[in-house]
Amino acid sequence: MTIVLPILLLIFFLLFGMPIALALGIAGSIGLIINEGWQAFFGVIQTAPYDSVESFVLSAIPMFILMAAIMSVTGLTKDLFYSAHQWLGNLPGGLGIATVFAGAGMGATSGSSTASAATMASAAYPEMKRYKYSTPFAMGVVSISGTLAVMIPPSIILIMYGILSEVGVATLLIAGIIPGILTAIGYIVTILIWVKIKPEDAPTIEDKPTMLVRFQSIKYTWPVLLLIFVVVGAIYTGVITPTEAGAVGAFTVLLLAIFMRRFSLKSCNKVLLETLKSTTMILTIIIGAMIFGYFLTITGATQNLVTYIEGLDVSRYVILSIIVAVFLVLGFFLDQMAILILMVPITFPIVIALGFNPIWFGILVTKAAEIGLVTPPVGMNVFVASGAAGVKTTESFKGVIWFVVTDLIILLLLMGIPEIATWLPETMNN
Amino acid sequence: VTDGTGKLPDEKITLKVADSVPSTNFISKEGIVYWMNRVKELTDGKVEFEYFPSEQLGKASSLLELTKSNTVDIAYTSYATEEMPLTEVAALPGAIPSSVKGTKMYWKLVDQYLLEESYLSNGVRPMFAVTLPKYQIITTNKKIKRLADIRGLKLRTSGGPIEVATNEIGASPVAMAAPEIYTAIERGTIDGAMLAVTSYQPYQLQKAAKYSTTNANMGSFIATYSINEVVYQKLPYFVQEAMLQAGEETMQHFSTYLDDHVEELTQTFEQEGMDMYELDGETLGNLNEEIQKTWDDWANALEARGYAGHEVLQRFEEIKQNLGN
Amino acid sequence: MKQLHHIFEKIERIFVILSQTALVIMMILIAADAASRYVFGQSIIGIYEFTERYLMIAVIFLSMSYVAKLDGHIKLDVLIDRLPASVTEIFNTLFQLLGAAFIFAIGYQGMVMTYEAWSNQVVSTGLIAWPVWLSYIWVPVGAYLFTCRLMLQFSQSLLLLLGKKKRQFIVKKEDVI
Ligand code: NA
Ligand code: NA
Repeated sequence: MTIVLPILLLIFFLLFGMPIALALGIAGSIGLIINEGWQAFFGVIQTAPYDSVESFVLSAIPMFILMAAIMSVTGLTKDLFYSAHQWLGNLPGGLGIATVFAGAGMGATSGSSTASAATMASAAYPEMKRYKYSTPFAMGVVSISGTLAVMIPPSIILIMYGILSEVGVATLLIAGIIPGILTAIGYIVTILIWVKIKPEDAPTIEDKPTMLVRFQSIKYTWPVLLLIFVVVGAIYTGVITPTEAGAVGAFTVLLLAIFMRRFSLKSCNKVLLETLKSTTMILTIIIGAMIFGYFLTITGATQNLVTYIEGLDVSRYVILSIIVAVFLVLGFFLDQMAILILMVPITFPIVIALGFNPIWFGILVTKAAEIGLVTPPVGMNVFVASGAAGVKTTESFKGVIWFVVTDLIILLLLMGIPEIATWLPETMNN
Repeated sequence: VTDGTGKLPDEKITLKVADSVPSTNFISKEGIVYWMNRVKELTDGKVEFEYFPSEQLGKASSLLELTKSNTVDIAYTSYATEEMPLTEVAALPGAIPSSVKGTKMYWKLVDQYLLEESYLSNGVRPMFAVTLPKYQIITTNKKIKRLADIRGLKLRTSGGPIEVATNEIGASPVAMAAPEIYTAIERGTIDGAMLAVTSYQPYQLQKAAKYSTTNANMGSFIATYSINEVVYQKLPYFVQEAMLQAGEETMQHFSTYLDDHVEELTQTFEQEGMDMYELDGETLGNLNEEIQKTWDDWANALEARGYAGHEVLQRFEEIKQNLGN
Repeated sequence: MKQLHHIFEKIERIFVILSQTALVIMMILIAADAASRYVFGQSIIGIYEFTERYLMIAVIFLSMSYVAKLDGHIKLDVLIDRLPASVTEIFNTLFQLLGAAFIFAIGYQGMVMTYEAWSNQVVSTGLIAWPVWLSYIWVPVGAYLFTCRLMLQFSQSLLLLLGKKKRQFIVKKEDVI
């Protein structure tokens, strides 16, 4: 009961409209107080808020959001999507497909899906609205495209799994490539099917633009394309680390905008406020999620669950399925990093003892984490995207459902065919 | 025997233990888990532990605070060097000859001086402390033949004395989150890193870098687990005794393991294609001479803040002499 | 009361400007460090620690209250959209009070932590001896600001509930930026 009560409280707080960060923090605190006493509560609220923010790696979040905000306020993204529309607009759901591509591109530069989602929301959403795409469709695409950053290397989640399990980070990152591409293809197929069934959600351009118009549309786009190319190039040649890419990108976009005479001091205030709004919202939720996570951990709730599963007398595939399901269920409520820290150390030994491939398990866990980012009630990517676009979370969750179905199918595929994850790293090792 | 709270010894005592390393890591397996098992055995199962590895209850730098506030009872307090700056003496470059000897030296200093000065004044008591193997220079493309070869290299270091030493020898210390080292080394963002050989495998560095020294002494790290002092004083006497004995045994076991493990790993990495080499006598001599210049600065900076930096250095040196090297 | 509100808004604004400044500095420093490492083969010492211990903390904590003012701390709207406004307002008022108590506790603990680091002169080890209290202090400052903001919102909701104020008194999003 003492463990169930805070969980019920959390659901109650969330449903009746308490800000998510406060709901997680307060429910977690109450859990700590009734289970461990006031000392533990004071200990945790002294360390957790500071610790959750004091991280160089997390500086990627404000920096990538800043980059996106500059691009958005100065109209650079508008140009980019105008061009994408000229080229892809004739395809059904063309802007949606362009967003998936952009998400995969962002994913290749960034390890942070929240930063990626915020960027996509401030960049792609207004454009899709301008071309009369429905809100759930547009927000669904934006929220889900952000998750591509999780599987496509570099990925903070994969690296974290590698460290927790001491499985090779390099191998894991390579193993993420094919599932990442597969996921992007899955999203595009979902868009095509969606638009086939409900064409009114994503109207196609009636008249086909001439090649001349198409090439002309690149005029204002090439500096940004060049920039993305340069930043990605700088990461892969090792000039900068993935964490630094946000700051370097933001700085370069700023210079570019000034050079193109698109930037004024007035837009400066707006850019910075937009950035603060998304960043602080995200990190405050992370603080709340940490406190709630500590409550679940210190009371042994997660540990007990795993011990129970381990003791079941069933086939090893059933146990694996249950473990993956637990990752999915925790993904409803908790921050992805918190889930990994909580669960990998206790489930990894079981999975290995059952004789499963550790790299494959890493990819399954990552896929589950990816899905958790967009599932209610706590779907970080949906929150971030909705916050950045100024849209109700309900609308976004509505739009994301079909992509989650796709993700679940891909997860099943990954479970059924481990080679999707293991083939590339094994080939490269030989 | 009853303790202050009137608990009978046949009542089970459960203690919460937290650290920041994965439970698969050697610090966990050969350190705290070994210690917990010994305490359980020595107390006939009267003492039980709830173990939270991998920063499950807080970041490494907060574990001292969580122990002080008794959110947990026992924790890995190794990263509390800001609150206990004198404990860093054993981490200074060139300070310890090996894990086994370094551990003996450090524990003696704890007994003589640091227990009161650093630990108890922060409300905790160390259960055991082990000095990790000497930090080596691991590089991607460049083998170090002379001291001059180090100059200008971008080397990832953790903060503290290692950073100071890296700067002293003319390399550029680069700060970077541990999970990023692998990619940074592989892609040449940095030229290498300063780490103990035992840390290569957890980060897979043996696959990203080609060269590693084996006899450099760039400093160390002290793996310490401490208990909340109030909790400790309330424990029955026989439990305290068991914990101290388990601590002694763990230090013996863990430090021996580390020294042996370094030998083993060196061979493994060599077989995997890494060049594990020794610096020649002259280069090593020059290197040691340069890095030991940082000791005085270290002590002076501490004296300026009211800590007995020079006294600790002197005591540590004396202990080293008495132990015979 | 109105004057107090006004003063608070002024103070809050000052801290948001600090937070915005920290953001700009963060961008410049990280980019400069990367450039220096690549061009001169020398990392700029201290940028890593300065970013994580000062800039990140200031950016997040000093803007929490302002983000609350903008209604930026996101919430679920699945159920509240379907409930009568009077019901959600009662919960809202309660939640604001609860939130204020929780954030105040964080601020108080942060203050204790800052005071200890200050009185013990705790500094970071390594090449630069960063004073640690200057890193901690943004936690209590930001948390207390946030507490004030929540109490302000609470008193407004309460007046609204008791029918003593008209609805438009609550700040609208559009008025702010
Ligand atoms: Na990525
Ligand atoms: Na979720």
